[in-house]
Amino acid sequence: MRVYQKVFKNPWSYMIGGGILALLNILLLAATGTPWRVTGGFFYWGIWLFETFGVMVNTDISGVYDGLGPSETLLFNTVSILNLSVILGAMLSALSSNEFKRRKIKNKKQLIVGISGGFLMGYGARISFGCNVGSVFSGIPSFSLHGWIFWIFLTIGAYIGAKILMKYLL
Amino acid sequence: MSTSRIEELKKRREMERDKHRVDVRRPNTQIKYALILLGILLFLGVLFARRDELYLWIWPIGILLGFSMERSRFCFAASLRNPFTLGTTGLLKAVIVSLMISSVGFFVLQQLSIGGETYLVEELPGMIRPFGIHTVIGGLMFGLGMVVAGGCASGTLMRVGEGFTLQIFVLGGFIMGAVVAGLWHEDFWRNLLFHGGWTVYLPDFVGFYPALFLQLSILGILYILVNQIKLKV
Amino acid sequence: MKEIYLDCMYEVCPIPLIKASKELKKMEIGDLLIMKTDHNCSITNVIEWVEKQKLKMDYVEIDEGEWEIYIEKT
Repeated sequence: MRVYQKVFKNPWSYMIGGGILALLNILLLAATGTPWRVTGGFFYWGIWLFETFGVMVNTDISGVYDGLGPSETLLFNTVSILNLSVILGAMLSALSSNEFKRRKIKNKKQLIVGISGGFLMGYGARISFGCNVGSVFSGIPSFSLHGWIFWIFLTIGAYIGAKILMKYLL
Repeated sequence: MSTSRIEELKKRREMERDKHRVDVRRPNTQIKYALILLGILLFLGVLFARRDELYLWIWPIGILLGFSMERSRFCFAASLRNPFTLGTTGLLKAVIVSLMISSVGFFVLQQLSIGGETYLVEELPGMIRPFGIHTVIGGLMFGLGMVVAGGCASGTLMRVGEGFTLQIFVLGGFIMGAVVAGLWHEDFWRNLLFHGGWTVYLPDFVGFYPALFLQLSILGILYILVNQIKLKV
Repeated sequence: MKEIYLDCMYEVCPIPLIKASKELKKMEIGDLLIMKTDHNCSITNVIEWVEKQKLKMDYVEIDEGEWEIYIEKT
């Protein structure tokens, strides 16, 4: 019972979490040849959605498929499955510590701000070839300069965002 | 950590809660759902692994990534936002240490893949990409977006798993942004980049071991600085 | 010796803690702040922040994924 408390109930420290994430990323790279990345999967999901709902009749999307491997589809590929597994892993953690809860949206303002923030993230991640995971978490350890530069401007962007948050969203 | 008054309140509240629980429901009800989910995950894992061996690794590692993030409340967005809004730097320090560990691990893997011969940067394991004006603008946009939306890419995934309805919509916005940028605006950004950006693989410039030493040193110095600076909020 | 209630349910972090820190600035010594939140990262945030500010706190999980945090200004 005490093991349950320690592992599943009490939160782990940030350092331990960070250490485990680093080790898992190394393992992922060793086993599959690519490290952790996230945004590519969202892009594929988006393309799939648009295709399914017939939004892009005139746009040429054949280039999108170049990135997919022989047994991969827009919904079923290494990045997308990785993203799905992360969501479910987090869900497993929440359930096993009795902390899962359907947390509703508070008001319209929160929703609009959230979607806009998400849009900014998706756009920014896509044009710079990676998000916080792909560029910083995997890019910096790969000794690629783009990771550092992204991290620096991420910090500046976060600073601006924090100021906006304090001033207008409180 | 607490005072006697707080202790009293806490005890009172706990008694209230437990009474309500005995009346209405039993504690620890979610464990059974966790076990059901675990069973589903195992089943799916087997299914996916049969499609491609890679998923034998990707699936469990991803689950552990999500699990560990949720257990440790690890949010990358918070690591950069908390120093500015609250003055706390615990997460940022953890991120720095995490990067140091990964750097060593990735270094070893890159060395193993090169094996003493010549190499092409494009074929090295890891995420090595060109940087340019797109990195600058992309970083600013992402930084702003993540603080305002309440989470970064990994944080959003984590919170969708925790049950936050808002994050599902954030994810929707994320997907939209990625598609707009990656599809309709792709040509604009490609033309904006001079020579397609510069790909800088640090060891190309200073050598392998110097690059490792340099990176670890910079991260180490960052850690010390972050630790010392008491940010005024 | 007042008790101040702060309802932060359904708020995204860091809003709960920022609201709390604003309230605490206005409070006098001996006052107690009671926060309700359903964001688990707020708990860890609060613990870290309270340690820095040298305040006293504790928390109770009152339901699945919901917590009440008690912070006393000392």
